Amino acid sequence: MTSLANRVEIIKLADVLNVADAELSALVEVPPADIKTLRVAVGEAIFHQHESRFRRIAKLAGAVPAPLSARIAQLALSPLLGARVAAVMEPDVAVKLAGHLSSTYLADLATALDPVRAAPILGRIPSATVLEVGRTLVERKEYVALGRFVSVIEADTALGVVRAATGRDLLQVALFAEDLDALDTLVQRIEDERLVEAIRAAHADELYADAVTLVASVSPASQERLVPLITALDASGLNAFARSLHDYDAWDAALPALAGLDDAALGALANCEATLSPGMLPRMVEVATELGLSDLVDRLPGVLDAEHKKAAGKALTST
Amino acid sequence: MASTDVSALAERLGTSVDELAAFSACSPDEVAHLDMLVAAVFAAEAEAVESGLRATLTAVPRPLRGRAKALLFPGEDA
Repeated sequence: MTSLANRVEIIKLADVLNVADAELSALVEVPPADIKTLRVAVGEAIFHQHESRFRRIAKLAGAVPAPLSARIAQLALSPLLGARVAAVMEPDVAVKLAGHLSSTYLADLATALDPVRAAPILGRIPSATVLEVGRTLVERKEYVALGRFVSVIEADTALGVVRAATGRDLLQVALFAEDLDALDTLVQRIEDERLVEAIRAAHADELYADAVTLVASVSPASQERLVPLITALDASGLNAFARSLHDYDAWDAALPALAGLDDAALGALANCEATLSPGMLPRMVEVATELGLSDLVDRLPGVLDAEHKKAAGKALTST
Repeated sequence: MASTDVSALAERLGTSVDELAAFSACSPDEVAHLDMLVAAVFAAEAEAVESGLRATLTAVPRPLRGRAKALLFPGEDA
């Protein structure tokens, strides 16, 4: 069974290696933490191989006036090289230089920038510039880069970027967030209407696995906000959500929030057509039991219809 | 496709075999493919750095070029 985190890590590694994620299909069984270890090792090795040369360019940038340095950078440095050089620049020089670079070049550069390495610089660039670059990245659908930035830019600025994004964009940025605590902070501050839009986008584009990833990535408090929005979808949405939870074995992310739903909402999901699939309701009950959600398990016989009770079989009676 | 074990990939990345132990579960051909992708991205980066350095020097105004060359290409004739 492919895990959600594995799927995300393969896409991120593919981004670093500049290949299609299908090239890495052999890694589906590799734990996501190990794929991340490889990704970080590749990024570090690439950087350290040429670090002395990046430092020489950075020194040159600091030796000439910022407007000239910006002109040279935009003429001669690919965004990738510009990003590498930016990471070793003195923050004072880099901030001055950024003020003379076009927002288009900055956005190009941002897709290759390591935000952690560049954090001392990013923290000093005017938020209006960061906001403009962030919005350009959203327009270009550079979700992996945006996912990296969420963790290092100021929360208000990150919120400004995602507020301008569509629901689908928001979902994708969340999917690739490098720092889940930062993602959760963002989700907590996003208005319900924007989250509803993201969930609707998942429904419209059949990106249920992405919606499940979002649910699995945030704190229990945020899950309590997201899950009711999903269970308010129509029958086809409920079926697809239940199937994604089962396919990715992500019941543990959704069940605590499902336990907080009223009987009608819980029954709508539990009695959807998808949960008649062999093994789905028993697995749901099994995970609920493992999580100590005895109230939820006790409520299920009361909300399930006869057909679903039969599908749950012994799982209900053995609890 | 030539087979490569994880140690070759670890050596290329300058990391330990233990760090990449999980990739031992992949077949030798799969590890070799991964190693090839890493080698390719290293080569692309080296080419980008080299051409970027040359282009930077060309973009520097002539009066500053000697100083820039000494900085960017130490050891080469100015």
